[in-house]
Amino acid sequence: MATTVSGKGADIRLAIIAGTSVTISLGAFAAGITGNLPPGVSTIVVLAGVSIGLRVAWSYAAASASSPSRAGTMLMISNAGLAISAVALLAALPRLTQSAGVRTFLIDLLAQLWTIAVLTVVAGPVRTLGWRAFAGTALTGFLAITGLARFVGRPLIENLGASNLFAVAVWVPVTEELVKLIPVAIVLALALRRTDARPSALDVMLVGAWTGAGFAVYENAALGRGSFSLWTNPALSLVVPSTGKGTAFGWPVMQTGHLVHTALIALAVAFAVLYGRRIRRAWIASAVAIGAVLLEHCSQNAMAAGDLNEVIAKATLVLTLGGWLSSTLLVAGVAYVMAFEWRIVGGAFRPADWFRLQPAEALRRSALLARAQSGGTA
Amino acid sequence: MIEIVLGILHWCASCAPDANSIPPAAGLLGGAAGAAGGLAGLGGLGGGAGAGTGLSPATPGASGDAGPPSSADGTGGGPGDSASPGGGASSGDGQSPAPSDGPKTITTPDGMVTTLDPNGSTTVVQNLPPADGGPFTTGPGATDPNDPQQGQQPIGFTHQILGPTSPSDPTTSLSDMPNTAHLQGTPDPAQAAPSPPASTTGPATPHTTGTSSHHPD
Repeated sequence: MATTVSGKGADIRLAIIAGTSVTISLGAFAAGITGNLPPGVSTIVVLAGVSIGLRVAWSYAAASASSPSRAGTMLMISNAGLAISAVALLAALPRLTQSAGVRTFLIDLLAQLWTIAVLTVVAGPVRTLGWRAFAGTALTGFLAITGLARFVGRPLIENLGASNLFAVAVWVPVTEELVKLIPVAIVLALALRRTDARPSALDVMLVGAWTGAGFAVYENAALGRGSFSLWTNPALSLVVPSTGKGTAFGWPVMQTGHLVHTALIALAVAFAVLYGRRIRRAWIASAVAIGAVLLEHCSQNAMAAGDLNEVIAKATLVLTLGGWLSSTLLVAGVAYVMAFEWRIVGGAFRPADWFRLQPAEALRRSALLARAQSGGTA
Repeated sequence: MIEIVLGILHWCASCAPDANSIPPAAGLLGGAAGAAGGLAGLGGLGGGAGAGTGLSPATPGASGDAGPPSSADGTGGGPGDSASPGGGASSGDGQSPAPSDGPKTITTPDGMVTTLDPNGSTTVVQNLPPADGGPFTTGPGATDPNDPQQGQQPIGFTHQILGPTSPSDPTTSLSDMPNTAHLQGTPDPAQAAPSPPASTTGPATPHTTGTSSHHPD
């Protein structure tokens, strides 16, 4: 009885904190829109408020471990959160798509979803997370992560110009890649607190892929671009139909973009974090992936800005394999981790479990993955 | 420059004009709502919230697949948050103990119980009475919807009535059988009704640190 009372008391406290933080965030947003607060201050207050609100949601999710009523409440919060976010996305579309139209937006969306579908099918046998996690991640990538990236990147672009090499080719790529990893970091932080149930590294890769996809769809819509082609780049376009193809100093350049970049870093970091005990040099994979993505992102932005020395540009093209490096590493990494985790979960071809994850199967996989990641036998 | 660089895209969300972009504060608000929605889908990672979101066969009307159900047997442990009731054996730093070698029982809010063998195979899936409004409302089989151990089988309880004894003979009242209640003297129909055991050997209750104990309310 005492436990029940204290549990209700904790719930009430969490509800009060969450309600207060949401109210303050909405108030700051309204004040920013009406000009009563400078936009920067308004954004900082909103950022603080939503951070507290998400921390409360995290605590509540943890507290719902074995309480049906709390799990039910969390389900309701999930439905409401996803619905509000989806409405926000729809409300933003007219503004976002005014330069290239809804058709281009939908073409780009289809191209991103194609790659996501391929990655999801490949990760199917070792996946443990459900659609809600990925839907929330995509919406976060589209709305919040882009907002945060613009918040830290836009002032420099406005002050130094869109052709400034430091702003476009150093500051923006580094900050964008960092903020895109926030959802990945949250999932990994939650995973490390458990030893009885863990996600697969490919789950985390999908979280990164969804974040990158959301980010890319927003960016492409705002910049008025988007394409879908299965033939532009041999083989690569079959997996990443949004791949762009250009030339720099007469050399071809392939451009895969945010989805591939974030998925690759997420996969490598997840592998190092989750299997660091088992494979001591797994951190090398993270270093290589982060280096490859930053080199590709920075060098391609520098070329687009038109301010890069020809020798340096060609050197980066050699190092990045003409833009193939990130996508090649992602394909190779996914294949390796897939084989690795397939053995851990005792993989077998079961189409029903492959495409439609059942709770019991997710539990079985996550328990086996947890044991392997904790250093136990696979 | 046109002849030197053709068709190279730059990956820069900050370069989009303000007129074509969402104000960062609005994006943060909308995205945070999505993030909160996604937290529930993290299943066992978030402490099991996803267990209530899934496609359990015993959950008609649920849509979508789900994360792994949560451990409710006290062996899994929540993230060690102060508000977490999930970890009977959680340590203060939020780390749960290493998985035990024995079978693990996991209960979802819909009452589905899954027993996981040490080799990873799921061996038992059965439905217990619903968590809320189940048939056991009193007595040793009662379930409390807010009890983190609810959904598990009630702890074994046997009721043994001994024959007439002499109150002055202490040897007649001795029994060290666990989970056994004993009555002495002549059976009394009023006393023969089951009563809660004074002590149990069940799994740890919330707010304990791994020791088996029972705190009657």
